[in-house]
Amino acid sequence: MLFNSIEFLFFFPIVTVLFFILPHRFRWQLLLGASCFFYMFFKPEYILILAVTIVVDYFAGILIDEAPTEKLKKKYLLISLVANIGVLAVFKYFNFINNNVTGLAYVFGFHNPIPSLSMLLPIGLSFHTFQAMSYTLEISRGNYKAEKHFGIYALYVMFYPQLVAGPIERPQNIIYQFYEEKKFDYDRVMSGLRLMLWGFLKKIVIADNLTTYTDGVFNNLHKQTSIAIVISIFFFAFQIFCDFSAYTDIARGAARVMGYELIKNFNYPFRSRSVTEFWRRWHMSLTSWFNDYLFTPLVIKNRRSISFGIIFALMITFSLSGLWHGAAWTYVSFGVMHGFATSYEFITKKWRSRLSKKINPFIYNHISQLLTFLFACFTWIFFRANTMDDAFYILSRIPGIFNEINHWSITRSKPIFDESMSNLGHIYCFMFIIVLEGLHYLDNHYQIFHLVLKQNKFIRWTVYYSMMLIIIFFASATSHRFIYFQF
Amino acid sequence: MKKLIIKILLFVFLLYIPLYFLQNIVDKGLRKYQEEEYSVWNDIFEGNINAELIIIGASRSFVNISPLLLDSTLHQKAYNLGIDGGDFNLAYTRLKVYLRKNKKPKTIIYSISTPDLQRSSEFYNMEQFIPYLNDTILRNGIEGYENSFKKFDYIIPAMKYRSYPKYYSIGVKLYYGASSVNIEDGHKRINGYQARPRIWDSSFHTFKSSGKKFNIKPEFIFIKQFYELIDLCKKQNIKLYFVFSPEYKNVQPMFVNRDSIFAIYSTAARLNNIPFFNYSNDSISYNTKYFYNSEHLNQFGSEIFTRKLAMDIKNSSLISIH
Repeated sequence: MLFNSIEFLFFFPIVTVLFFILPHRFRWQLLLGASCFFYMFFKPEYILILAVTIVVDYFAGILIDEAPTEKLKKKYLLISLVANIGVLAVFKYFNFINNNVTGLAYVFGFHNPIPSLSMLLPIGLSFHTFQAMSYTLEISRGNYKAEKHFGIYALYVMFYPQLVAGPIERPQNIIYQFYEEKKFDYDRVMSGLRLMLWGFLKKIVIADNLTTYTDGVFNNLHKQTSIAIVISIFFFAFQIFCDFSAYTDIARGAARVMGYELIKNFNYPFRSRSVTEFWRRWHMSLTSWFNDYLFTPLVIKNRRSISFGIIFALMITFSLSGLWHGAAWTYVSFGVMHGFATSYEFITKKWRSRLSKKINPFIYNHISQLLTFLFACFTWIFFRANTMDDAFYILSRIPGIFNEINHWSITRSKPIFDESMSNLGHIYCFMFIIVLEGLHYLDNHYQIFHLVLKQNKFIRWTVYYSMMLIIIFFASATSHRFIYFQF
Repeated sequence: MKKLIIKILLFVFLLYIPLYFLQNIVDKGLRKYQEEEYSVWNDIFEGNINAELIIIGASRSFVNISPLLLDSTLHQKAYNLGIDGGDFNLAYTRLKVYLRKNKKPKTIIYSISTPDLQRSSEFYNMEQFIPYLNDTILRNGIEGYENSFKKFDYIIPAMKYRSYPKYYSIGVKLYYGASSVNIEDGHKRINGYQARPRIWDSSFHTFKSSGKKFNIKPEFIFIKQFYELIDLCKKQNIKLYFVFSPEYKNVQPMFVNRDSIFAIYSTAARLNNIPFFNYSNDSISYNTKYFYNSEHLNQFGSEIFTRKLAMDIKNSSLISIH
């Protein structure tokens, strides 16, 4: 089920009202049932994949916890990891690997007899397998005791608000909350609803409207002017931010309404002054997952040569992070570029620190922010491009923007975007981005979102009312899936 | 929880009521609008057409066939229900709405276009349907198109106009009695017909140089509807004609399965004794002076063609002439 669907408009209030009506002991059953229903809306049979990994990890967790020796613990952990990564390998990476093998075989004059699999990728597969893996990993490290209640464990993996696109939770943060008796708290419920409303506005109004243009351009690159391509690269940055952060807001809001607090996933990433900082602010739950379970162990393993160890760990972590997003070289390139950038920042840390002291902090910080944003946009070209060829084609077209601007008298007589896209839509898109960034700026400096809460009822209602009207009058004509569903 | 539910209900109520009134005002205003497709829908919904001869089809219908000229020869009050960018399903939907709101005609001319039986890839000009979305026949007819209206458009008032903000002002103006909203001359339809005094443009040559071809994929449900139309005419004793108006000769080979598509129509015509006037090879089809693009006749061409069609129908003696 999509959050931005009519079904969710009924699903959410029904589940929430039932949740508060039912006694505490029945709530996990309600939430588990609702989560199954929510997931089965996409492709019912894929719930079996989830069921298999849940059963394997549940028993693996208990066995790891009770294993008398470290060797046995590792063995059970390995079984759990193989099961989870195996599911990912089959459903997400098989065709990617197989196609590359076919390509390589062709180069060397061989034929790969293994055919590609024709099946849809289960929704949110990377999210719930990573969440499941964090459970057995935490137990094996002794940070968490195995959950004995099968239903609660299943709910940990399947909790509907964050099932298909995170945030990727840790057992320490969420499982204990399922045991707590949640009382109806008016202020908390309102806070959750507000967060959801803000999420819906970002998704339906900003992200979906931007998608109309970015899809139109990225799927028909050869028809576009260079100006259109460059504008779409920037549009995509705001689209992916609004799309993904909206999902997180709706997920966190829906969970908060029922009394569950999910971890934060975004913290104004476009205000980052370095790529390293960007990853501390963007998709924070994934960053911390890779940091805890891959980057840190790799650094520890190579601690004898710390600089090499860190750079090696950064490159491996970011390459795999790219691959986590999707089984294509475009995503791997995206990850590798971030790996290089963070390695560069690690190597030049002292030099940059000295430089920052010589330059006016206002100028230094803003230039750093701008460069980080431009770098992120650059890497998102690879992230969004349909193929590597498309990505390189986009790069080849970017310099053309100077030519088009130089010959503006000719350019302006032609449509910048292809004619199927309305000019009014462009104006809206620019307006949305300006308003969004304006609000972010004001919230960062004056905490306006909190200030609104302190105002009287009339002002608060006016704000909610305006947000609803903006959704109704400016919602995109086409509703799009959340980008991160596909991962 | 009770307090919150009451507040939410109050909030929804306060949001819903003004939007509901706004939507009603704009809907009602647009029902007076006389531009292009709106004028035809408004004529249909007002139930004042009551023509004896109805022409249905897509853009080739309302651009190529003039009802006034048919009327002058056949002496039957005629109206052209052709729908711009439509396929058979949309043309048939419009006919069904027409038959519910108006007297049944004596004659129906189905103006065929080669791609009719294929679902339009893009739901073209969908704003024409907005004021009438509460009509069940129309609603069912426009379902199934990729970019059609969403459930939100039917449930949340005013949301259906979100992509067409200009209609707010047009609708409100017309509702409050603005005598007319500026409509350019080329955007008017008279008895459903639109004369297009244009000259041959470059679209055919652009298309030809692209090297693309059309391979029409008829949709099963459309073929079923096509036979429903034949049954409906039989049951209601309506005389049905199939007409394929002139199409520029050089575009015809670009429809790779044109023969098999025509076989559907000619078989149905033969089996049900329906006259099928096919002007694919008519002299008009060879001369670009009658067209503005490969599928559509210009005003000059459409007037010559309509006179010819009227005479052919008259001569076939299959129509009762008063």
